[in-house]
Amino acid sequence: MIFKSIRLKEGLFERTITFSEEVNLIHSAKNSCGKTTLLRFMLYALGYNIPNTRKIKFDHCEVELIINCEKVGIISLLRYSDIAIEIILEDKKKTFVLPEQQNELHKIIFGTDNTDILGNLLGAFYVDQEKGWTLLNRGVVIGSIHFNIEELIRGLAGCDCSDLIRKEAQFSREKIKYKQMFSVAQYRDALTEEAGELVTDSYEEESDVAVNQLLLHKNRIQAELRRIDNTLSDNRRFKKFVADMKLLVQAPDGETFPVTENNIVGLNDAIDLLIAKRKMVSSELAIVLGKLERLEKEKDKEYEQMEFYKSASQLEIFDKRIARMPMNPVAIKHEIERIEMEIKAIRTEISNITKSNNSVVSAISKNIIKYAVELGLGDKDTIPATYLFTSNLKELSGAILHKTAFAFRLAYIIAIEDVLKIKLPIILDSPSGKEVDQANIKLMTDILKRDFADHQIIIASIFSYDFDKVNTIEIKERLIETN
Amino acid sequence: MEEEVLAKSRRANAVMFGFEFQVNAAIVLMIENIEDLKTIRLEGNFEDIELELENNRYILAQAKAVEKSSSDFRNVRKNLEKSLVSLSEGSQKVDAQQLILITNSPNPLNEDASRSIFWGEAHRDFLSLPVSSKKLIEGYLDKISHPLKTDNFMIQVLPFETDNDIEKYKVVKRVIDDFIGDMNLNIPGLGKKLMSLWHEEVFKNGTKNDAAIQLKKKDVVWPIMVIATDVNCYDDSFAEAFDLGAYDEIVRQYKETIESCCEHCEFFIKVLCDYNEYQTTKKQSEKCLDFVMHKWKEYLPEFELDVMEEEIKKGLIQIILYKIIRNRIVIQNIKKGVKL
Repeated sequence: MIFKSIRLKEGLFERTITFSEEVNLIHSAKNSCGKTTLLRFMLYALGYNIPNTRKIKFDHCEVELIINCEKVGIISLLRYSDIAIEIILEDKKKTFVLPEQQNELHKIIFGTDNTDILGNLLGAFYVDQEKGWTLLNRGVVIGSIHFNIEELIRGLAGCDCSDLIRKEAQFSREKIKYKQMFSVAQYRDALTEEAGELVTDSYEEESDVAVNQLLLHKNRIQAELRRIDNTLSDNRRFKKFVADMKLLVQAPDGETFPVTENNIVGLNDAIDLLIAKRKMVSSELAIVLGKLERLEKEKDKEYEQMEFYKSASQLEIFDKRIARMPMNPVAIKHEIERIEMEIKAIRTEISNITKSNNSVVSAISKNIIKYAVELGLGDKDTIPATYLFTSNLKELSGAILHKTAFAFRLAYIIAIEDVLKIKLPIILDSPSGKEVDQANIKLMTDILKRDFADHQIIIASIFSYDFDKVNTIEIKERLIETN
Repeated sequence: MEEEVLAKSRRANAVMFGFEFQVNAAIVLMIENIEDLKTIRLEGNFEDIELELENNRYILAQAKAVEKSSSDFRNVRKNLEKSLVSLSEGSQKVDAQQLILITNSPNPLNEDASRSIFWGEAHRDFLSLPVSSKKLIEGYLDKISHPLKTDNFMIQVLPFETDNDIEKYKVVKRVIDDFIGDMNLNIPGLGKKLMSLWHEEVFKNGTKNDAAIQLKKKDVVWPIMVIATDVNCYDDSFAEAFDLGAYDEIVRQYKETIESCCEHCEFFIKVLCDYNEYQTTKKQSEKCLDFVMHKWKEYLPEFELDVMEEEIKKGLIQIILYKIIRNRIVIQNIKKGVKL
């Protein structure tokens, strides 16, 4: 992918900047002129959720970016608000809502719909001046955008851990809930300790038990009523059915008479019995409902009284209700521990799947080692193959961390190119920071010149760099001024 | 001030007591006339208690209660006079078969001559009263423009005193128990259940504003059958033949199934028909049990449940058959007893 040009418009001011396909240097003589802002505008126009810089609010600006993609050719992206982006591709306009449709947009630009890859591309090709030079394999790229090497590898290797990830997310959600519960339980315990009287409201407990019993009773009676009603209607239907048949029967003495609903032995009695039963059961139900209502009223009255007498009653009512909640902090704690174990196990499983048996891992590792050696960070024997997944950043400092971050990015970009067949641009913000001396800068530029000559390189710096052909974008006082 | 409050609460108590007596008097009169009864009503259009009979004639009653009935006779004559006036008016409006003053006073005329004949329970019609009592009553009647006919008049004494329910309701309870006995219902606790049921049914009706609502005999009698046919009721003969522990367990688990089978006419008509055709050498009273014990297998297809143990299946079917036949017999007996 190549950045062709960008047009920035803020109020009356407007500037169009054209990029070369090779090396671009965004340069200013002094600091704080807008180099970083320009880089961020480019990413913002790609649809990323990028934070403002202090001087320019992105959502007050209009940004039009023209890029050339390997898969679909020239795309024009126009972004004039936080929530949407408009693209023109082959003369067709299309609008994407952000951040919901960010992946759909990036699918067009980068030519993959694998969310594991799409989510981690920015961390590979963009090195932020603050966070970027300390980011190796997982962490913040910029703002709220994260990079995770395991995700990227899974995406590139096409292995699917979505079930495990879903499971992990579910457990994490549960854990949050249990933690809340735990703090409530602790609060409840504190209540019991400090104010015995308020909490051990046995009357309330008793009345709750009474209410529950009445509710059970009510349910039973209602079930019986339903049964009686069903039977009654069945019997009435039968009665009508018999009456409609108009049967004649002959008694042993030869007399014939019609079968009617009234001369079937026991039928009317059964109906009368059911009616009487229904009456009795309903009056029983009425009594139970009356009792229930009275109890509920009493309880309401109690709460109302508390509200009346005390101004801080909200808190007191809350305490009271919390105190009534049966909760065992120990059991909850065990549950939290269990969930944490589960989460840990799932994470280990995910990372095992990611790390093991994976050609992507070995390719990236190989490149990291290659560039690390070249940058003077060690050799094959001092850098282990699993270094890719290191979480030990503390032992790296200053220029070493800086160069390591650089080596990692380059390895990622090569790996992505292998899979997606696209050449990502390389955007470096202030590569000369962190007391990196000219010798080291030269090592880095040499690698870029040799291995990444066909990638677009965009560097923002107050220094100049030794490339054969550099398109310098000069920023004087302000980034956006009519040119 | 305090005295006033006390007096007020005494008056309120007296009203409550009077009403309670009225309810119980109505129950007693109802049972005594249950065979001919059509409807019963408290605080009706004409009198305190009205019983309408099948022949469309009426029994009208005035209920007069005295709280300390065995010692306080101050107001009994006033009560008598009021009742005579009211009953005379009532007899003008409807065709009265009987006019009753029902009271808890053992000395309703407050005179020595009649005192002994009213002791305990009493049903004294006018003609059976001593001469002095007749004169006393006729004296009051003379003052009334359309007096009642004395040969319809009766004074009935229903003992009803103290706050102790057992003592207070002892006669009412006995009347109810006798009534149950007449119907050959051998069900423990039925008298008590019936009494509280009637107290509520009759009492509730009495507190309604609309005097036109009356309790039909059916409304009074069917609750008895509901209690008598309860799934937990059985006769001694059955108790001897059946393991009662198993019975309770099956009833506890399958109460709904049992009730549903007993109530659904498609099923019970079939059972009653089979029972009717069933021939046995046993006595009529043993036929039911005999049928249940020998015929239960024929109903197995209706209960095709593999998961149920054979013993339980057998018990369940037997209980259902037994309940259907027994309920039929119980209902018939009660209906015959009360001529419903």
